[in-house]
Amino acid sequence: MAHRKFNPGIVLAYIVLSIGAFSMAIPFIWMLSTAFKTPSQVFVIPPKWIPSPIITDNFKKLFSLMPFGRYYFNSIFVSVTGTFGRLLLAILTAYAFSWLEFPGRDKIFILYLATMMIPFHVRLVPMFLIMRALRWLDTYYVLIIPGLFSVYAAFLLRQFFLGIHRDLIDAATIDGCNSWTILWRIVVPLSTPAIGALGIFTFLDEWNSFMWPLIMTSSNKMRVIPVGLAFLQDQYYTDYTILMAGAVLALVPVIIVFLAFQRYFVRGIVLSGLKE
Amino acid sequence: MKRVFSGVLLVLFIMVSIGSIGYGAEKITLKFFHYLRAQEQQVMISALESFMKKYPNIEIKYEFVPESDYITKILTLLAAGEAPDVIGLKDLMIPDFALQGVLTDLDPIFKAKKGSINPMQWISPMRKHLTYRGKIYTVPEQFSPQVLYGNKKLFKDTGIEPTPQIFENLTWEGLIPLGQKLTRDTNGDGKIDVFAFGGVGGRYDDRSAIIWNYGGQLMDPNFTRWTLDTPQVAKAYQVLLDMIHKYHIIPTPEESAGVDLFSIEKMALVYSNRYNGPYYATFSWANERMFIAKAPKGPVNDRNRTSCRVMGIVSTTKHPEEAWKLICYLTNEEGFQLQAKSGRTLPWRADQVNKKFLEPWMLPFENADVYLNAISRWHGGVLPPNSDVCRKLTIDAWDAMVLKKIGVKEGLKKLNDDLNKAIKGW
Amino acid sequence: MGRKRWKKWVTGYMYLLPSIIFLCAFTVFPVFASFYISLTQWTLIKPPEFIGLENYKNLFDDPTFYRTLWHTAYYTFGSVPLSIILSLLLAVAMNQKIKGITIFRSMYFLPVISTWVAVAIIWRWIYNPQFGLLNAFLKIFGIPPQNWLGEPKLAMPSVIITSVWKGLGYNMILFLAGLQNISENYYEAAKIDGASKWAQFRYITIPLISPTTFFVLITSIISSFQVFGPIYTMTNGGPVGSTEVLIFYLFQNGFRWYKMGYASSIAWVLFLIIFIFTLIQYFSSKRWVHYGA
Repeated sequence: MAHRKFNPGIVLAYIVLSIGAFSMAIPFIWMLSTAFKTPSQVFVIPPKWIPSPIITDNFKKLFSLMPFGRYYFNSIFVSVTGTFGRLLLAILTAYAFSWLEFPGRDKIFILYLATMMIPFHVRLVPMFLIMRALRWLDTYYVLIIPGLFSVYAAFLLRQFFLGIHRDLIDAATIDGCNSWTILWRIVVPLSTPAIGALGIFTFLDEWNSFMWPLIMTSSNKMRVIPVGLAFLQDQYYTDYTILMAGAVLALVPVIIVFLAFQRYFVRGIVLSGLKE
Repeated sequence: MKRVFSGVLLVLFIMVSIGSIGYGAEKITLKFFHYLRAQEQQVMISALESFMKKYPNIEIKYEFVPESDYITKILTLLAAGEAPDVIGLKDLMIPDFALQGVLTDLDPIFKAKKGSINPMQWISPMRKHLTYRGKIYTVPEQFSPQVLYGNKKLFKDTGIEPTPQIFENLTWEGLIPLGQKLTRDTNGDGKIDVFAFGGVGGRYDDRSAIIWNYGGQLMDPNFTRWTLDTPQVAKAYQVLLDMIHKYHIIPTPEESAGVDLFSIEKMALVYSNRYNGPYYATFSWANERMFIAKAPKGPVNDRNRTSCRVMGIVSTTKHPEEAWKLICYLTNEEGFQLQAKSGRTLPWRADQVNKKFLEPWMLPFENADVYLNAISRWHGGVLPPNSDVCRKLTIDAWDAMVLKKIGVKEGLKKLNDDLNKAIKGW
Repeated sequence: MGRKRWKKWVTGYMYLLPSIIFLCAFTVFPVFASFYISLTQWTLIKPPEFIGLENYKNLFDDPTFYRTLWHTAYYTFGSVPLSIILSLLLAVAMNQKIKGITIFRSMYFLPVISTWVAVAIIWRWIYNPQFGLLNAFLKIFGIPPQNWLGEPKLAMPSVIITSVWKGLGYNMILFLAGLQNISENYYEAAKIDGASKWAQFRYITIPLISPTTFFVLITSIISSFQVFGPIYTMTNGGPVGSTEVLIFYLFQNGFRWYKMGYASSIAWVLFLIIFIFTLIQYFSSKRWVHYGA
């Protein structure tokens, strides 16, 4: 059996990382704990981590104050379909900007990037006009469709697609594969880490989207979770306990998506298929 | 075949006719837009539903938006030509919207004696307050002048019994010696943990009462010019600053950052109003130990402040009559009763501002006499145009003074100039 | 044009077609409209009024614009390099095949999914001058208590630290994905040659992760220049405006102060600044970004 060298540097690094990891969990623990507190326990100093008494009223109140179940359904429906759609569109676009050749490709790419640089608030009213003209206001269309194309997503995948060894692509071309086959048989399988990461990010982005649904929808039927929870705050005070109950429930799908996708960028296919 | 076809057409025609008769006259849709918290929405929704039962030909499409994003959305709707018919509004927004033609002048409606609202029934300060440059554009929906909310235990712990007598003639400067007794270090670690007083914000209308009490004015009577650079206003500001810096009975911003000291029983008195009533009622100690008392006054007068919520008709509406019916219902008729039950407002009609009317509303820690006194001391407020710029300027100036970045006299002079620049041309 | 070349042309644009449709439908009009709006005076309530380049002229002389631009640049150049370095190191650490590493990785991701409300409350408590954790910790080393969020000079660095802390898990994931693309062979060969862990990191990891680094750098800069949320939950632009950033000034002008035209001109100047930065990075990337691991 090989003798393992005891490296104090590595041990120290891992102690630091463990402390770091536990500190990362503190806001989450606060959220969880506050969801089970009565309002008067929220701001005691020093903070109370375990509520006494532990109550479940906040969850009951949450559902009686608003149709939270409906908001939950809306958020899930919009985020899941949006994530699939956005991933698909990003894959196609990123492929064009990485392994396909056509005139003006890199210049057009810069133009695409430029669209990320115009702040949202000055585009809001014109976008509202478009959505109104399409009659998409206060429907699922407005919540899902405009978000399907994301330059950020396409850019991310482009970077990872470019990381694939040219020889693999060339070999397939020589074998007579067309662009579609290359994309789905070679490029995508080799990019599961990136697609996994993007899946998580896209879901998170859609799930937490606030300003867009706020402006583009108006009825309770179409409301999503972030907008619903915003009604627990106003200028003077915030219902922290009920808000955190909602926020904790809202975390569940996100955590599920994270755990489901994170295995993709851990067990990615090793690229050492070619000998130098 | 032809017979069957015409038979079907006939049936369809009959169905459509019956259908439209069933709707009575055309069904009118009103869009109602407001910024209610989750708890307030339920009361409002039931009021809207009973309205729709009373007027079956009017359908209300309501939309609630969180307060912090309300103006953003309403401006977007106005820009796109999708304006609602009836809107809820903070009184501070009246000048901005009235001057830009968003709100309908209600005087013709009052003259025609339509609906149940008659401004002559309101207490006269309310009439004065809501008459902007000669016209009334909105009616009140919620109203609650300032009082003090206190914690009996924090008083008794220092040997003071919080009787109404203490507050009967309490002045701002009188608050200082009282506050010094109430402010203490309870655990001997050298840091003050309990403060006497808090809740005076930096916005122009938050500051108005104490300015008036020292003989100052915020603006001229038409709200066209700011007048903060006077010795009286400087004195009022100085008294508050002394409470923070010199006597330390009000916590500094860092000491109160992110925490509601009153809720955790670390503040003896807070300058607040009934709008926060339901929030205070959630404190575990409220029923046992909370009390309300009259707000302080100054050497010149005891004028009180409030902010109120109002409702108005948007000028682009196609159904002003129905919109008015809705407003009457929500702010004056059955809708008002439902709202009053939610415990956040006080009445503004002269026939309702009395103990008999108010007493049944009172929560265990409330007191009708104190509220009636608060109402009687209110003579209207300050409504400048370009209100958000004014808000920001006054808050920034106050923060700078609290952080000692600028002196009171110099700060007020600069603030006044900036404010006057901001409202130029409105 | 040769048939082959034409075919490549068409293929490329076919794959781009969906994105082109979306851009034309949802982005082109708002972008051009916002430029037109910047040439107008618009209260949103009344129709826009054309005034030419007046907004830009006023912007040139506006001290608040320069102040918020400076704060935004401070935020960007303070948070982005720190975030990239720390999250890359974190990703390398989280890439080890140790038992339970999944739990570690998940914990580092928790702040990313926690709401800003909760993060702001916790960090405001940590930064509290009287009883906050940070001052208590520094007391051990004899450092006097500081007013982290209340002192104008300290407020922005404090917000930066919180913001970087919250975003670590996000960039960590991106770098983790990038690390998967680096073939084990390189590291094995290096080990055989006797290279130290640090040398492996410097000469293998850093160059081969550069496509990811490039992405993180550009997107972080673009989004940091447009930062809004983190600042407003932590300090609301205070104290005394020391954390006011450009996007909030833009938002106030557009949706609070009835100056949407002015807000749009701010947006377009910001766009120009970000675009130039991006171009610089894009062209200099040929030097340090290595594709094809």
